[in-house]
Amino acid sequence: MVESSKDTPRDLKGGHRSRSAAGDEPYSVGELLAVLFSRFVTDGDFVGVGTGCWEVAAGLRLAQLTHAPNLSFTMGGTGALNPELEEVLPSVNSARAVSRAEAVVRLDDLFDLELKGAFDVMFLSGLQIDRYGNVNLVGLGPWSAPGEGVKTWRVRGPGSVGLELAPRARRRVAFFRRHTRQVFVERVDFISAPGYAHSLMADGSLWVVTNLAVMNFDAEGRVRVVSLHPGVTSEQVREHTGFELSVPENVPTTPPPTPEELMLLRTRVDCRGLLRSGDLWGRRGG
Amino acid sequence: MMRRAEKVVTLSEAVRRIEDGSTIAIGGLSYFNAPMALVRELIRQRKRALTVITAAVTGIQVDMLIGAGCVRRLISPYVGMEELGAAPNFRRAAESGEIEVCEIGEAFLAFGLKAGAAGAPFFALPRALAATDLVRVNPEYRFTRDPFTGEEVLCVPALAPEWALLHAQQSDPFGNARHLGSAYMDALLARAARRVIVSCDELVPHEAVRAEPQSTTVPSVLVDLVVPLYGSAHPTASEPFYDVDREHLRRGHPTRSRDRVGTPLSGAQPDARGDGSVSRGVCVFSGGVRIWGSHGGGLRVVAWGPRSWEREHTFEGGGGGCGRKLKGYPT
Repeated sequence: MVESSKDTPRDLKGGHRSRSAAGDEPYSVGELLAVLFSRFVTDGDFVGVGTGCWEVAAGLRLAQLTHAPNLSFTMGGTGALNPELEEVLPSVNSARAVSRAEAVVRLDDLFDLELKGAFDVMFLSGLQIDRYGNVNLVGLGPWSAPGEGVKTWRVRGPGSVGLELAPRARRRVAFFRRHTRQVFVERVDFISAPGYAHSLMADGSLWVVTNLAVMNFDAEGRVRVVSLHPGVTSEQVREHTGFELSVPENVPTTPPPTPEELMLLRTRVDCRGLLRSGDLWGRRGG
Repeated sequence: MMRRAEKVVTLSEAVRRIEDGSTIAIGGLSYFNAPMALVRELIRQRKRALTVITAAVTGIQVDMLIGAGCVRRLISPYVGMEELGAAPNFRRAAESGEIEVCEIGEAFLAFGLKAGAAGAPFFALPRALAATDLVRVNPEYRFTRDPFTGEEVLCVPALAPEWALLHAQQSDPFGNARHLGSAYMDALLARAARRVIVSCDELVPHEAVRAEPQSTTVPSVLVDLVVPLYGSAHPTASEPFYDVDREHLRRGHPTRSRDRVGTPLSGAQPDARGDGSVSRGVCVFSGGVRIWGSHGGGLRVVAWGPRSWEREHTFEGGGGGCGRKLKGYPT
């Protein structure tokens, strides 16, 4: 879903090893995202894991093992409820999750729950996001109405999938594995998931997490940096954003994964180290 | 005394009933449980102008059909191969306008099918879901007033395909299908469709489904035809029998620029008919089978299969893969 870009600094690509809080344990961007996602959910939440969201699946399981034992989640299109997997599956839609689950919520029924607003948090991603938090997963445009000899898209993406339902969740977390100018654009070419201003449920918060920073939205509904990941500078994140991004002075550093979080992630959640290697989504080598 | 009719047919008999221009739904999800043998047979029988409704996430099962020129209109919220990359035939056809893409989100699909399954004319969604560009570009999203509250609601039409093509691991001869991994949204597709074809890896005796009626995921009353063929979901997974053939998907759907779809194959030759019409063929080479198609001159890979696939799948009329063996081509 998210393409790599030449202008991403080499040291920020998937295979990059940053240092953990203890200062001696390197971790990958995939592991960092999983740990951050685990911190975005609260005890008792109900979350659905979407296609391609390996870090989310890992993060939710990690949350269950740490601060959120009452959290529940369904795995991809299988609807496997709370699977106790020790590895990150290559696809969240694999029925292997079913054999380690406590129940199956059929996909037909998951649609109802999604529409009804039963999910507390929705994690989403896309090809582009703009300063208002609109997310595009349909294509890089401009879009033209089809017709004889008309090119409808410059690059056609996979499609909106369930992004239009994102505002039905109480909280949203948009994530992008590579923070680049091609992803963070002034205006998305197509709105698959409406931005911050469009929220149907009570809380309605929208967070944005990338390999560089954690962001949310100001009172005017514009994206702003909340914290920069360890080793990332304000200049770097601005340079890789296609619009003027507000970064506060003395911006805090994202608390890195603790040794305990990393240990649990590697021994109980991602035994095979798929997140650590970055091979899953870094098709061109992280 | 009359006997209960079995529904087992051959692959070609099953697909022969599907007419050009039909609306078909293709089951499975992503690269799991896709009815690939049925898809390939659609290509072999040169079906045309199909409207295809997919599951919430789909991939090679529709990408191959598009590559072979069988699809006129696509109703799908997501076509891709997860970590294996984009669906190249879909991407090209959607960019060029070669196929008509009904631009939808998951709610359009899911609740359109639910309306279709219940025989209702449409499904009303909260007005707030209109805050996307889907509604701007797709005239099939419409508005009406809720007669009870007077509030405006967003409506999606009922989806009631003429056929649903599904794959389950097992079925009995009467069409009691059992998904041993996950049924994904196959039961919903079966309920929405007028007629249902199920391909299965194993044909199990009727007594076996009677022993465990709760294991039946798509009941016989919804199923019209059963095609037993081991491996008929390959290269997608049919869990727990076989996993996705990643190498197959990777090679059939190259994402690296040096192996881009559209590059003529070495050893393959242009279609002998030379009339510019879409045609297909099979090119067997060391270690595998390539199924190619020509679209107005340029040859393109439509799919790739392991060489053993030819033997595993003994389709009538001979030949491996979805393409017809054309005269003068290497076998």
